[in-house]
Amino acid sequence: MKVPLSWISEYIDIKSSPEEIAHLLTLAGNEVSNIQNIGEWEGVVVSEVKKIDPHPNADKLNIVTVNTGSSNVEVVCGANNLYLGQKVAFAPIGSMLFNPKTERMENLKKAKIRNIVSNGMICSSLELGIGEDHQGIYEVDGKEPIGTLLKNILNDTIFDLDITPNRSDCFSILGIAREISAITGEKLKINLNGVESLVPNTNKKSFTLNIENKNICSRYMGALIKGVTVKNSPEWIKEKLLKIGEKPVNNIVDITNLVMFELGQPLHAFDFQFIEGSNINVRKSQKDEKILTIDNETRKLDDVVVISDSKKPIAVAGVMGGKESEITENTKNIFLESACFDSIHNRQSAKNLGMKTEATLRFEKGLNPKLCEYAIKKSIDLIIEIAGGNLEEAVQDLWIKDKNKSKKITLKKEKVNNLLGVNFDQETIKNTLISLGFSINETSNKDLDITVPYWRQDVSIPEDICEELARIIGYEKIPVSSLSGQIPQWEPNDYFNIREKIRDILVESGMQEIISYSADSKESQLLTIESENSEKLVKILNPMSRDFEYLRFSLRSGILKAVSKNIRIWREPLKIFELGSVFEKQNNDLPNIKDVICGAFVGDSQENLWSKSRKLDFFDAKGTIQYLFKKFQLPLSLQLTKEKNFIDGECFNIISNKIQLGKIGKIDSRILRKFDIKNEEIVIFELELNNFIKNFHKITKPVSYKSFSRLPESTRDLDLIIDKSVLAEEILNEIKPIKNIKNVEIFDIFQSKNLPKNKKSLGIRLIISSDKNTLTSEQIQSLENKALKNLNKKFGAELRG
Amino acid sequence: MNLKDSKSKLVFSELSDFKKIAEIDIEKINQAQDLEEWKIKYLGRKSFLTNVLRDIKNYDISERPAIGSEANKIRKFLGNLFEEKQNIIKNNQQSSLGAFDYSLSGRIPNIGRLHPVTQTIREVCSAFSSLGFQIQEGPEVEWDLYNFDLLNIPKNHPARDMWDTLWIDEEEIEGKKMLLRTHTSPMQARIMEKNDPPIRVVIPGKCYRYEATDSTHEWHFNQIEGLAIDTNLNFTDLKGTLYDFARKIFGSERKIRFRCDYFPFVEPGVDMSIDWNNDWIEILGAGMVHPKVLESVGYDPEKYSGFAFGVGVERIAMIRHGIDDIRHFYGNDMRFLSQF
Repeated sequence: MKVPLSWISEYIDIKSSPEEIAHLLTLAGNEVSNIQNIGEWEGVVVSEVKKIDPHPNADKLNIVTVNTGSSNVEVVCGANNLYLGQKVAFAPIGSMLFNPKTERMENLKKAKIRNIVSNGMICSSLELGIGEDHQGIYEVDGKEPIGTLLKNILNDTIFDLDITPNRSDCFSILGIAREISAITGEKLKINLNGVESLVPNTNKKSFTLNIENKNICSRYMGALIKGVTVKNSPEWIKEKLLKIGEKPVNNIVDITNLVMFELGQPLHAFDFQFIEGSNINVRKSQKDEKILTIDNETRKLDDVVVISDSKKPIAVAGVMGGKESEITENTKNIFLESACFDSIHNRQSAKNLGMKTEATLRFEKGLNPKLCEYAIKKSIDLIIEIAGGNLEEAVQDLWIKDKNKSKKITLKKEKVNNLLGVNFDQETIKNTLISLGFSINETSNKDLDITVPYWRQDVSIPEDICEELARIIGYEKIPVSSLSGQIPQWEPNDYFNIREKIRDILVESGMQEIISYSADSKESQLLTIESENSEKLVKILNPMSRDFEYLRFSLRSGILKAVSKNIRIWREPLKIFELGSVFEKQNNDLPNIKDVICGAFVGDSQENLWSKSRKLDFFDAKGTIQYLFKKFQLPLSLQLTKEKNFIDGECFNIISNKIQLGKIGKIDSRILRKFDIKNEEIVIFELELNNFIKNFHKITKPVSYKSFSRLPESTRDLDLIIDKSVLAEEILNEIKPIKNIKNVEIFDIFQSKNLPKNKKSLGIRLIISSDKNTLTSEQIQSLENKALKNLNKKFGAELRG
Repeated sequence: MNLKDSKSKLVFSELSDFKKIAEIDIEKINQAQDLEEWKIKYLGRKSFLTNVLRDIKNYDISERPAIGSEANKIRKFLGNLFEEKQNIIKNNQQSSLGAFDYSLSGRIPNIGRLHPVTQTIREVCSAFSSLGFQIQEGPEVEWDLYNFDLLNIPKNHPARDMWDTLWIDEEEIEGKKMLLRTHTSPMQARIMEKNDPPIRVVIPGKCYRYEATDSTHEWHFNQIEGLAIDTNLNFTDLKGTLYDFARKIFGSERKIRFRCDYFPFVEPGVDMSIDWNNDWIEILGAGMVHPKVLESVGYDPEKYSGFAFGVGVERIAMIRHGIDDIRHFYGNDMRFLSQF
């Protein structure tokens, strides 16, 4: 909300700098997000339009002669609202002026426009930095003498305030003035007047008010003002509205707006001749009702609170008026509304219509019915002063709920210390609350009985009172203390600890962690998951875009998108993983959310530019999994499986202790092409973390030490010819059980034309040693023979010739 | 050799000594400049050797050829020594300095990295762990009951606008609607429902808001919720805890702004900001837990009090690393990720 300091100054004398006031307001809860200074121009003077001649070379331009007080000057001007005798803001050559194009203050230079020299400029409100309008020029109040420097009559500072939704009272000049009064100690200058003084001595009644249900509106005040003249507002009203970013309309509308911004109470003026019958009703909309609102939209009124006359809705209550009864220059008699609409119904109405207006902004936060009378009084006074007309009958007032009810709170004497941890003395507490408009009765036992001022809808419990004290005295005045007391004795969070350890192990093994968006497009998800899972996707009702319409069921798409992006911009090999949640739809409950790890390997592995490179492959991925499982002392085996997203024969289940934990394999190039990845092979692995941790919750236990032999080891290499189909794993499993063979490794593997078609050559190395004594060469030879014999018996393996 | 007088004998022995000393001297030399000095000393115009040859006429005529031949032999020998040494020095210069290019890049160990968000979550959590806060987690898809109602934000409350919500496309179940949590605060209620005080927890996790993205706003982000409940916690404990956290994460030189703010589930409410680029940037919202929230989970607000806070993870990472655009975090660009 924009708040000019000049306007606030009508309510309170401001004795500190704008920066200091802004700082204090911010600390006390109303953040000033921007401070704008108006009137930093130099040389702009009030001048009078003396002559308007058409430009010989342009239809839309005029040559205007202005009297600046010291001389007559000719300028070229394109504005459409010029007239003789008008007072304007004239900037002669050399003036400092805001340039909307560069957004800087600049020196005005002499210009030739269509061959005519322009000796300056007549300014619009945009060029003066006080409004958005640049079509027409800014009109200076006719009372200002020619030659006056504009900065002497129009300088100002405007705060941009972010009001929190609890403070309906602060959506007004008066509310901010009250805040400044409390934090600076300066008293308010103006007291508001009620409506009693307005009642003429007559019983005449041309309309009847009716509220259908007290839950939709607690108070409705209406006034009939006859014989007004609708025209442009005087300059001082326009200037105020321009400064807060509002476009002036006409004097009646401008006055209702001005009072709303000043006091915080939205008002509406109807053209009385378009109100049919004599009833003004506040009621819920009826079936199939419609209204054309002021913004020229026809709106279907479904579950909306409306104002209606005897026949039809004439306004959406507290949201927007109807077009038909809008104030125009033909309006003579106006019906002025000042009402207190219920916040929840108002919000619901606005939401159902998809509307948000300055009125709803205030009503939805909750206003007090008391405010209605101050606002209608101020508006009537201004209308009669500015637009003429008479109040020929009494202002009607239908107040059916919360009449003269004020909130009372008892603040126990120990409460402030208990909640804030600081003992303010009783006088400070009382003075602070009084400065905010609270009234106080001290009981015999030092408790405080506090009456909340009508405008503070947000204060209702002792904690609220404590916040008022803390924020006005200042949060910085409250000391700090260290937490004492008992630390909760909770079990360690194993799941979290193991999961983070897994992250560390993957990073240790050289992988980069990535984090993708949790939502994805349907297409990307369907591409990478098994088709039977497509029904399990969780859909977002109002997604940011089609690209984020579904919660991810799998991390694969995110990983492949990251690969696709980085192979174009990153020359080093990619070893990336994500550890994050995936979502699976469940019936009648929140989705099942699981943590999954997905890793991908792609590109050339190379230590540096001068060393030899090789492609990252299946065994890089498998090695990482092996390392991970080894760290947790878990066995690992792979089992061939089939899935449409992987290349046939290169997709495996990851299994440990017979439990399936995930998959590893090479992604099918058909899928890769959909992610715009060409000529690359990508191996991914995927592990279900919940499963992993659930089954191995003891894996955080420390590594258990095994004794090792101090005796020397011997190695024996065997070159075998063996069936192609025999897996390395099978060979190792066959030999490992032989006593004193500590380990078996495969160091060479090849197929060649010299071998029979179904055979391969395999080099295996036996590592032999005994825990008890050094083995003799005969004993070693016999172990070697035994290994060979077993392999021969089981697989028909033979030594290569 | 046929030598007759002592003078001749003497010159032969002197030449022999001269040669030995020259040999010993050159052995020690490994600098070109020292070698030049050696040359002057042993082969120069004023050297003993040159003197012998120049003054050869002082010797007996019969001895002259022998002395001359011996001296010339030595001159040639020393000349060779000189050249040899000169080559060695030259080669040394090339091999020990020139040929070994230490400036080539070393073989960098193949290291991986945690995502900066993970790193930041860990640092923030560990700052609170040291104060006895336990790490807990909760669901990213939530009921509006937990995300709003139990936090004193009833339906049609204007404060709901503070959290523009992404809703899940599902029917209402028992009056509850499904949404992507807009903050980690729903876990306050979930934790309190299941546990008795005292409570000290931090809850990291992803949150989502229907919000236009720009350099400081993302619709998908991380928060760390904190909650402490006990019999006598007050505002000074909240302030002390958060100041301690800020010092641990940003160092004690960083300026902190602690001001009044509004969140429906706390009273009083707090906004804590850090100075950044000559301005303040909000890093967390906090406050004393609202009595209505305590009541809604069955705690007696007369007996228990506590505080809660929600830390913006990406904001913290941005301040710490000088990151200028929040959208980098989930772009998965290696040029960004590889820096942390």
